[in-house]
Formats: sequence, C-alpha cells, structure tokens
Amino acid sequence: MIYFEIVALSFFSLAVLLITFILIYLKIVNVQGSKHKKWKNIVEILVRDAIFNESADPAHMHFPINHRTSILLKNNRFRNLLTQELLSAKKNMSGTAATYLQKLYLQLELDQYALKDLSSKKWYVKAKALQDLGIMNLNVYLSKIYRQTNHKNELVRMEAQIAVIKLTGFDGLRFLDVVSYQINNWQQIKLLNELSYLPASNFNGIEKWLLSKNDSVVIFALKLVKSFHRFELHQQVVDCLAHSSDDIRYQAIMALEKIYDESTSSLLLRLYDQEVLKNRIAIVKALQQIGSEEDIPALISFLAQEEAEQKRMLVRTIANISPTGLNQLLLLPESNIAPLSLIIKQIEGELES
Amino acid sequence: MKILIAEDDDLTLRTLEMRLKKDGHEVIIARDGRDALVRIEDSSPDLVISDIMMPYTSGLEIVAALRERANYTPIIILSGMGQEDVVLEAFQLGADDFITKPFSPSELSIRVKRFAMMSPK
Repeated sequence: MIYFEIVALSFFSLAVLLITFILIYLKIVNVQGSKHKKWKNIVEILVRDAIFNESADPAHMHFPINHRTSILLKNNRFRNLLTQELLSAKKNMSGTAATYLQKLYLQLELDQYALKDLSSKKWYVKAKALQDLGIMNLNVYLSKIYRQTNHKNELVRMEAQIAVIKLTGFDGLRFLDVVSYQINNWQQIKLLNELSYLPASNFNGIEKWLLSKNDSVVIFALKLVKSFHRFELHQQVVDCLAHSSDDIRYQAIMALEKIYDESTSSLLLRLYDQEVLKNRIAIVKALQQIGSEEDIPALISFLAQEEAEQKRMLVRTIANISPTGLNQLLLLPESNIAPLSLIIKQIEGELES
Repeated sequence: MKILIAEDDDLTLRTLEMRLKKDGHEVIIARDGRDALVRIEDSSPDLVISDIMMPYTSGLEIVAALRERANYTPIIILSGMGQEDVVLEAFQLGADDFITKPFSPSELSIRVKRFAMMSPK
C-alpha cells in the first residue's frame, strides 16, 4: 500500500511540475510575442517616417529618435528586427525614399554593427554584413567590401562580389583581375543577373579576363561577351577556341553564336572533327542560327561518323539552314537506310508541323 | 478614388496604403491574390494595384480573371526587376500600367493621379 502511495505522489508531483513548466513557458512565449509586437510597431513607425519624409535636404536630415528607441537599439534582437525591416524597405523603394532609408540606417549607426560583423570569424555573419552594406549602397565601405571578394569562403566571396557590383556597377568587376578561387556557375548567373539591371555600358577589362589563368574567369568573360554582344572582341573569342579547357572552348562557341561574322561558321566547322561531343553539339546548335547553304556539304560529311542522336541534330541543322538542305540529304544513298531514313522522316514531320 | 492594393509583402503594402491614404484615396488591402479577387468583387474599386508574385493567385491571374469577367477596372502591376517578360504578358492580358520595384512612392502617387484624372467618377 505504501508503495502505491509513493508512486501516486511521484506522479502527482511530476504532473504539477510539468504543468508549472508549461505555464511558465507559455507565459514567456506570450511576453516575448507581445514584446515583439511592440517592437515591430516602433520599427514600422521609424521606417515609415523615413519613407514619407518630405524634407528637401537629405544631407542635413536628422530623424528624431526617442529615448526608449535609443535604449532598445542596444538590444541585439531589436536591432536585427529594425535592420531587417530597413533592408526590406530599401530593396523595394527608390528615389528619395531610398535615400532617407539609408540616412536612417547611418544615423542609427547600424553600419557600425555591420562593420563589426564584417570582422567576425563566422562566415555567415560576415556574409550577412556584406549583403547589408551592399543593399544599403554604402560606397564609403567599398574598400572593406572589395577585400572580401577573394575570401577563402565561397559564400563570403559571393556576397562581396555581388555587393561591389551593387555599389560600383560594371567597375566592380575589377575583382576578376585578382580572384584566384573558381567562380562557380551559380555565382556567374547571379553576377550576370545583377549586371542586367545596370544601364548598358561599354566597360573595359574583358580582353584581360579572357587571358586569365583562372579558367572560371575566362568562362565568365566569355559569358559577358555573349550577354553584352561585344562584337569587337571576336578575335579574342576565336583565340579561346584553341584553349586546353573543354569548358572554355564550349563557352567560346556559345559566345561566337552571338557575335558571329561571315567567317564564324566555316571556322567552327573546321574545328568540329577535333572537338569533344559536348562541343560538337554546341557547334551544330550554333550553326542552326548562323549557318548558311555553303556549310551544308560539311555538315553532311559529318553524318557518317556520328551516333544516331548527333545525326538527328545534324539533320535538323541542315534542314533549318535551308529548305534545299533536306533535298541534298535525300540524294545520299544512305538516306534510304535506317537510322538516317527515319531521322529524315522525323525532321520532315517537324518542319511540316 | 477607391483603390485596391494586392501585395503579400507587409511593409510594401503598408507603405502603399499610407501613401495613397495621404493622397486622399480610399484604400482596400488584400494580402494575397485570392483575397484580392473576393474584395474586388465585393467593393468594386476604381483602380487595382497588384504585385505579380503572390500566394494562391498571382497578379497575372488577377488581370486575366477580371478581364474574363469583362471587368475593365484599370490595373497597375508591381513587378520586380528582370521580370520584363511577365510584365509583357500582363499587358497582353489587359494590365494598364506597371511599376518596377524598387519604386519611389512619389512616382506611384503620380501614376495613380493619372488614373484618377481619367476616371469617370
């Protein structure tokens, strides 16, 4: 009987403890939630005052900050909330509203916290600081940001490279002169995307980057040639077709498709035989856009050596170049034998539809 | 003028709301596309300002749905940078104007004023 009482008492004590713990936990969550709501309200008022400021002189603008907010600014969580809202607003606003948001960020000395974070040993803290300074367009810290563009951590490097482009436009690409780490494909897409928002500019440096020892820089330079149609660099791109890297030669083919001249298609056809499959496919695809009737005999001559899939691509290119291309193919004795006969039928069907 | 704003970003929504109220307009807000369609039906606004990317129903779907119902309320689309193709599609569906983010609240105010001047009410 006594054992039963001990067990029951233990259960009861545990239940009381558990309920007390849950109640305390809920109270804490509730207090924090209500605190967060109050903070959000303060932050919103600050951000709105900046966005709707009608003072004509941003240079001498000073936002009134009350004592409570000044004290709250020392609280990490409040500061993070405020920084987040300011950055989010800055991303969506332009003109004077954006200028005032930047002013408020500086007046609250949030830049100083970002700079402190920039020296952090934790890569994610550093990367976030770089992102914040870039979004806030704080050119004054360009040299500090620029130093991180060749950081050993990939994500820090990525944020720094994006930030320097945000701050200085095409001039920011000068990090390509010195970057020793590879710029991965995702980062190249992000950089090109960032550049696409800038007004067109005849920026310098591509010639130099095409000769870089860092293969990823050469590839990115070729993508720049392609995206910005830099016709004057045709010869330098042609020189890249002799590069030892398959990927660089591939990008050179892709770039030439956008900046071709009358010699490009015959040049690509001359290289066809010695290229790897991926690049042979790229050449055939490029010729769909830039090829002429004179290229058809060479394309027909490649048919014999290729597998069915590449044969299909060659036939499609021949048919795209000229309506007479398929007629020339039909004159071949092999055109009645599979797989070529079937491929020709398929492409004829595609053209009819 | 009665204006409906459909925007899922809270700060942008409140900024637009405040600016337009300051300009003397009556503002109705919707935090997603589905809610926007219901509110348009209920309150018949004179102008709709809609973000493109929203939960449940996108800005494009709002444009398409209104035009399908022969509702020709002017629509201003809020687009992000690099969304030119989507903006073009919005125009093809029947949108009347667009503003690219980041945008200046004063610019938006001027664009809305243009529609207010053209409005028959």
